Amino acid sequence: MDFQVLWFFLIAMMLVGYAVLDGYDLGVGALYLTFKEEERRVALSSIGPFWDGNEVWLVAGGGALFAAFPHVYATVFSGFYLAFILFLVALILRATGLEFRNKEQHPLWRKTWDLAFAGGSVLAALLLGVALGNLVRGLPLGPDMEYTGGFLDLLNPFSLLCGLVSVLLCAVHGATFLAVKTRESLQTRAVSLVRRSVFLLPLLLAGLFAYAFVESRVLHEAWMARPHLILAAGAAVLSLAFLGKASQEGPLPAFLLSAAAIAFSLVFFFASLFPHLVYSPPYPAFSLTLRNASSSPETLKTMALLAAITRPLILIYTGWTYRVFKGPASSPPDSY
Amino acid sequence: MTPVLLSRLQFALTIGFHYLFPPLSIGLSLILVAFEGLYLKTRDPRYLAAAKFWAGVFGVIFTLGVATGLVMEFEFGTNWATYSRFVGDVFGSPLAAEGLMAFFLESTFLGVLLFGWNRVSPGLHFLSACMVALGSHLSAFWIVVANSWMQTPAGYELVTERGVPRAHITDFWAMVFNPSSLPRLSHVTMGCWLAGAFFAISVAAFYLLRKRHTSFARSTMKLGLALALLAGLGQVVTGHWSACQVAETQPVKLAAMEAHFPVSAPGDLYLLGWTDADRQKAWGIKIPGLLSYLVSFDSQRPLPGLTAFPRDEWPPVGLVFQTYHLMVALGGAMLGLCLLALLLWKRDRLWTYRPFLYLLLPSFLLPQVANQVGWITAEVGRQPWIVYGLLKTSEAVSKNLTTPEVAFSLALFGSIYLLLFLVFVYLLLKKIQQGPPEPILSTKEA
Repeated sequence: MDFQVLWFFLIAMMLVGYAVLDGYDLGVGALYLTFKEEERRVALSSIGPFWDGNEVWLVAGGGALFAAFPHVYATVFSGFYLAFILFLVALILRATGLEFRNKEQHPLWRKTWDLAFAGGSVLAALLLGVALGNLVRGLPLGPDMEYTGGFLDLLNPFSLLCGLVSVLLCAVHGATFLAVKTRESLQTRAVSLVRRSVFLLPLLLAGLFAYAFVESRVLHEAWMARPHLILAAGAAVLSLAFLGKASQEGPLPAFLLSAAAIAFSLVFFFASLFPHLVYSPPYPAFSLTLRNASSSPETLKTMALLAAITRPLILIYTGWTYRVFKGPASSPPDSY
Repeated sequence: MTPVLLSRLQFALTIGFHYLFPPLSIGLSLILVAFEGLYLKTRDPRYLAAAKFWAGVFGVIFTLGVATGLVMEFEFGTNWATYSRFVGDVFGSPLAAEGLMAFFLESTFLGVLLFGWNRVSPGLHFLSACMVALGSHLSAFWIVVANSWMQTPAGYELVTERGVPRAHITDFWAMVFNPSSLPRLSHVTMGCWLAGAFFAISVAAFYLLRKRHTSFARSTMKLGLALALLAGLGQVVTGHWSACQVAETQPVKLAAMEAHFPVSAPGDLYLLGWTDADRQKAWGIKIPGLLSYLVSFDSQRPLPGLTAFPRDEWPPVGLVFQTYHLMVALGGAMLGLCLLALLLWKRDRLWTYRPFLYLLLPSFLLPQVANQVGWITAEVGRQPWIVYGLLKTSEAVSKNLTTPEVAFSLALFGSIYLLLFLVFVYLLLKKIQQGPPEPILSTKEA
């Protein structure tokens, strides 16, 4: 078996899993400040039992990247230094914000943590999009595999647009999640948010893919060589286009469609980058690929075995907790 | 200020702050499991109330552990990229294993633990508590394995790829069970149990002094003392084991721990002292030959001192010496408190003898400080190496970092962590002030 290819696939799957799962609780954070007090409490209790487990997908993805493609782990996180530190701070703030806001009655206390939760969520979703945009565009690397650009180079128009789309996709995903997990005013609000997004968002995503085709050399080449990649991009756009119709059927189909839109977008980007992990536009020879950036075959094999044992178990007990917390969330949250 | 120095300061700050929380959650997870188990067995609602109280405290601690732990998972890449390239195989693997085996387990079952009281049966709730405890212990296992490999590398070979040296795993289990893994894992785990146990003891002492929730306080005190005694005695054994392993595999660290300078001479053990590395001198109260005796059962056995090693391979001697001795002294103090408490317990005076309860009130600080200074001994004692004998810390930093960037991130983490610390203390005090929920003695569902 080709373990380098397998690990490219596994890490891509972990990031897709992370985006689909944490995407909805980041999205709840992005919408959060538009809610009234009672709705905020319900919104928080709807993600309370899940957000931490969702975030572990990112942590585990980071660990797996370190183990399987250490050069990518080293290049990307040191290259994105300031952006990544801000991302970590955003995640710290939203975690503490959502856990702590209900622990005190004082309005100033609540306002502060509400801001931390909402601001942290938006910033995290934005920076994830910006980072992905830069990876799609390519990062200039030196012969020593180090990033040769600076912080401001990361803030190019294409990547900023990716950041914006990321925030909007998370927000819609958060809305479809709230439509599933809540009732009454919050559900109504969530459903109307979803319906209002159905015109703008598919167009925006299609525009982003077209922009990527022009902006990213590696994507352009991949698309010419493997035209069927357009199926993934098309599936992402169509998922969004049918979101409004699906939400008339019921909240769950809409949630599955917004999840599909995020998943297909990422699958499209990762499949287009394949076999590159970090593409270096001015000097493609310095690019990090699954061949030149991986750990030793022995390690990849051992870790694949470990993943094969633990992954199914994780899916089983995660599925079990979703069953335990089936049904609408209530306010105030179940005590702790 | 260079990026290396700032990155080291940032790592020390972020790991030191993070390490306030995991030991507490690891130790308290056992107290929680005990109360849940007692409730399951006796169906006494007071145990349920106790479990709910500790679950709430656990939740606050765990949140901060997760939030600050996230930084650790990525900081090797952001600040120590050269190190990450070097050790990806070896260090990345246990980190990935920690994610797959430990983090998913604890965070998923924590959701049930905190929010599932009315949604699952007591049996499944107990099981969830066990899984959270198991997850937090597995996490300790993998992270100590990874760190131990940095102390005593094993099961690898050095290869050069694209001009960059890298350590490749040749034997996974030799890497996992490298010479220092087990002694250090047992020592660290006991340190975590002590942190949880003394936290419980402090809380119990608080209620006993206030004459509030006394039945809860008594059962918490008993469980805390049992765990503290077990772990305190365990520390004597595992500490000894660790010291013997350091003597064998990192002799220069041992020499720094006891400020042992001669090229080769029997090693003394200081109870208390001061050392000046430049003048190669140490002063203090010492027991001649005891260090040699402890690591070899022969007080005349010569041990290599610092001068047997090149000066540029010495760790900062004064810091290692002082942190090590502080750790040992605190360990002794904890054991002493335990024994005194047992004596008073036997005479049934533990619950009312106020001077001693006042002594126990701040005792939660002892293991916290001991854990911090113990890790400083271990990590600073490894300097100037980041991977002992293979890679120097000064060569491990990310090459593209600039001083202003790291200064900014350090200041950012510093200010946010200060804020979080204050909030953490406030919320914890509030939880303790509130106390456990009133046990519902009727047949009504709790």
